[in-house]
Amino acid sequence: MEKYVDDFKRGVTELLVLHMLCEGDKYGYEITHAFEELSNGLYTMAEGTLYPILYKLEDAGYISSYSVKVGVRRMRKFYTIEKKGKERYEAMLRDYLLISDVIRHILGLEGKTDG
Amino acid sequence: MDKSFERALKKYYKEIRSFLIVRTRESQKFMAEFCSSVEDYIEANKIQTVDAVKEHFGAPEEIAKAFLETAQLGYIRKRVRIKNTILIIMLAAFLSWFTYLTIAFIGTLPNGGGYGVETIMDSAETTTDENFVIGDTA
Repeated sequence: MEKYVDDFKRGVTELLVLHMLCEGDKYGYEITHAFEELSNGLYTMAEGTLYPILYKLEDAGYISSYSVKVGVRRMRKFYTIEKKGKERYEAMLRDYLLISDVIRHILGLEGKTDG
Repeated sequence: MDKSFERALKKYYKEIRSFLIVRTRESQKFMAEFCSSVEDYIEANKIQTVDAVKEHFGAPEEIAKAFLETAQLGYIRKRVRIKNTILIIMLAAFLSWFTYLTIAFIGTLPNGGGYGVETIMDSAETTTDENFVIGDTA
């Protein structure tokens, strides 16, 4: 895959993670798996990319986490969105739609369907 | 999970850790959650080989690279810099100590290191001056 695809993805990863958490509390594997399923395998997110984003969001107070014991000795960490995170998500979504519209306008793609 | 699969997984995790450059609280947290994700994947898909795990999650180097690139951890870089500075200071201290020992050793040699020659020349000059002073008075 070309590097620019990764760059495109990197720009919206935070937005997508916040969106996932708006739908309910999730753990790491659940988030990457949901990305894969919802995009029919076209949008995969490496664990190495996801976790630093989650830590950054948690440090900023947009999300928080709690651990749940799974099986005998394993702990599973769930992430939950905070009020501040929801506000951040809404602001990001607004900006994303605005930028996306502007780009489509510049490229002369308004009114055209994807593909 | 059989023993050989467990061993192969441990080796896989160890390789990832080795590519994470330094151990930070964040990288340790990441490894704990990464291991949990791998176990989730193994359970959900009934995986029995480490190759299948690698195929899904990627090579150790790629995983560590993605983490370090996304994290852009200022303190990881800072720690690497501190580590390098400590290494340079230790190297400089060792070189100074080695130089001091070498000079001290040369000093213990009979007429070694050129010090003896310098002393003789000083004595000769003193003698000449004395002769001159005596001569002048006379």
